[in-house]
Amino acid sequence: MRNHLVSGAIAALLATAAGRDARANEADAYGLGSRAAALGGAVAADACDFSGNYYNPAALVGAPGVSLSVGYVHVENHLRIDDHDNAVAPAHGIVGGLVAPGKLFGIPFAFGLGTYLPDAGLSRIKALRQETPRWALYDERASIVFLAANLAIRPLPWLDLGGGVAFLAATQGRFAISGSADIVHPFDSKLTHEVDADLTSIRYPQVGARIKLGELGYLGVAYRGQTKLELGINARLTGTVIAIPLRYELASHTIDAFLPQQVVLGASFQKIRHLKVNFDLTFVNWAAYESPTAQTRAHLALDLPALMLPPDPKQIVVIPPAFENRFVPRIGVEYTLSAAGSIRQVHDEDHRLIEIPLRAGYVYERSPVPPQTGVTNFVDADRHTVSLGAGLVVNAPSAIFPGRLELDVHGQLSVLPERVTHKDNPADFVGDYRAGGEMLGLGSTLTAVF
Amino acid sequence: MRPAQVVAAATIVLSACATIPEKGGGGESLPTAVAGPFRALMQEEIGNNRVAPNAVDDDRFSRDPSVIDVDEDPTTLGVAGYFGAAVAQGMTKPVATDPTRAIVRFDALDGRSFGQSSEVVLAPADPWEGGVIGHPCALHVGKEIWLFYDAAGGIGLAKSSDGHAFTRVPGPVLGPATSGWDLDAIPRSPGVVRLDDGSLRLFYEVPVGPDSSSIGEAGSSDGITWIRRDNVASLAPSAPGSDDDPPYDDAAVGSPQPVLARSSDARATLRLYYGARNHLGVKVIGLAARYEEDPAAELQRAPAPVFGTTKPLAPTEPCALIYPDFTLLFATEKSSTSSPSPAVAAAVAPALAVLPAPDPR
Repeated sequence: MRNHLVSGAIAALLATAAGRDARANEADAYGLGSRAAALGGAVAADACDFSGNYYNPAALVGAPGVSLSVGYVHVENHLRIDDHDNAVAPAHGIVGGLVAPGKLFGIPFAFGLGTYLPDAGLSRIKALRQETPRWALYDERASIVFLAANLAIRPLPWLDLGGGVAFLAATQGRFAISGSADIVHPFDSKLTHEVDADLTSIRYPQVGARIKLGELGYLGVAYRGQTKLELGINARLTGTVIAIPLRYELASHTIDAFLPQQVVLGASFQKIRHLKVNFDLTFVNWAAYESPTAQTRAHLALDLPALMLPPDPKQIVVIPPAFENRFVPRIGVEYTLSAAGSIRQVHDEDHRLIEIPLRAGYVYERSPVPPQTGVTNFVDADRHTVSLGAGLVVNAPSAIFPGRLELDVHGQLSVLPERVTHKDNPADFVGDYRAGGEMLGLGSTLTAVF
Repeated sequence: MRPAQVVAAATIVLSACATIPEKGGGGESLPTAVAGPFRALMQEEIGNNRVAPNAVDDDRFSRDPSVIDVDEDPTTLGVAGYFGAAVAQGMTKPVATDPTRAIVRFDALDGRSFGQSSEVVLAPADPWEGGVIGHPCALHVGKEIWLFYDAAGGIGLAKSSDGHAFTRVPGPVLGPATSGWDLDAIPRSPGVVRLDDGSLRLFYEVPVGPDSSSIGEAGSSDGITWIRRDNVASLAPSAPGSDDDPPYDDAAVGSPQPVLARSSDARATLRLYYGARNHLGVKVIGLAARYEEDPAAELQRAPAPVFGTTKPLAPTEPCALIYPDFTLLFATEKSSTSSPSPAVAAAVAPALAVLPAPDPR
């Protein structure tokens, strides 16, 4: 128990320290961990490993022992408009986490930590004009850190409850230049600049519950809160240019990395030994999506009455994106082959030395983006994802390691059938277009269960 | 619990190291209708000793371009340009304010770097022309090149088998209307497009009041007999807006040039580029369009002007030529901000288009 508390304290410290840079998103698009990804993410009632930190915190308490996981995932995006690849950046990074179960005052509990760390950088922000076509749901998701810390308890033998927080960082910045600029003698210019940027963490909740249905299996329900990054910058330039006082002010505000709130209902049928059949249905509140269009104000003031300055740029009228809510069905099947070796007892259960889980999954995600017949160009299409996976489990490989080692791999193919956009205005500068493509993801996760 | 500590420490290290994001993607090969907005050509994009953005700037003040693909193959760049030009009156050299009294032809191997010499292909000859002709509009019809132009009495037509020697069709093919919204107004500045069914569609400018103009439309199967469309202008100046957001064409619309385009989903679209002027006197090039699947529909304006917003050069008389990956626009405008002399500027859309090297450089 003491060790568990130590690991929990370290993890909590880590969560606090890293929270300022963390944003949740990648797990939502591509899955967290090879097992969950192979099952199509249909694990709300069956996520007893670190992936429960995203799919259902309550399931963490079902972990048989302390487990550590680390892995890697790489997703190639081949998304095209009018048959031209738009070079949407691949998503690749390290996944990992831990689950530390124990008992507190006789009540089973578990602490969990899950993370996805993109190995190409922690953040990438783009603020585009609303007319500019962009893959709204995938272009911005590749470089987002996911970090979540959760606690779960089992107050009743048939009931698991869990909850925690994930993190998102908001940026507010101020940038100012003041002084004198001498065009004739530039080295005599005296300019001072001041930058004040603040990363403020935004936490969003996630909670879950899991009910045991006797030998049938489990029901699960999970809620993930809405998140978004609010990015702002205020710039002020003051000074004199050839003895003419000048002032330029710029203020910009945008929303990025929006993740809608979600409610998941899941079921895991486990009546047949070695076989798990999982169903999830997720309600995704995309209707709350806020336009990422930057709203910018700029003003130039010059104390020279004889000179007519250009007018301030027009305020952008942001068109509501009007995304639609959607239900996302998921199905996953896992069958574990008892492959070889003698019977070992691991966490009070009998297993052969070598076991091979085989997994498959399917997800259908209807596009929440309405037909882009007007000025905006949020490009998207329905998404069908088929996943396959397998594992290699070594139970109690030695006397000094009575737990088990798991190596899981998965492959994931998403197909986005071509969607045609017809513009209402024949004089639209973007015009009609066809959008579709594929995504191919591969990943592996190594887990040690102590 | 040592492994947990190792993982935690590794996570912190990884977080600390991975702070520089890789270049974001998603912005390549984005769709565009290649309809605008246009940017003026830069010096390295135009050759033949032309000074960008002017594709033609000569001492005959050639202007009001009509540029056609010589071989009707959009994958090749060679073009012929027909322009209205002032000509010497006896021993008197032309000046910038002279009306155009000839239609001249320049050629360009690369689609925009027109040669330094031109040939006169049409000069006033008939009484109804009143000694002035201009605003040419050339198009391929079968194996011929047809050249519509305006003159004192209306719109005329000349035909050629080689694009050099033209033979007139007698009389104006479109004169003043005898009824309707443009009663007695003399049509000018023709723009003609050939539709998929082989019929012709003519857009023309009509003066409306002392300081305004609208665009009318007529249809024909032979280019000679034209039937005006409806009893309203196809495009009229837009309604006045607020002072904060004034329209760009609330005073006058004219100099129409239609072109038939296809969307990526193969929808035929009739685009109409036109000269626009607002109540402040600012001139730009506008765009309106309609889908040909509904030819009775009204023309819809683009959300913004397509050319002329960056410099006060008062562009007018546009001519657009569509290639697979870009569209070239030619327009009459001041040769510079300090000179009122007309020249023909060249521009390209989309703004990021990369043009083949000029020929000759």
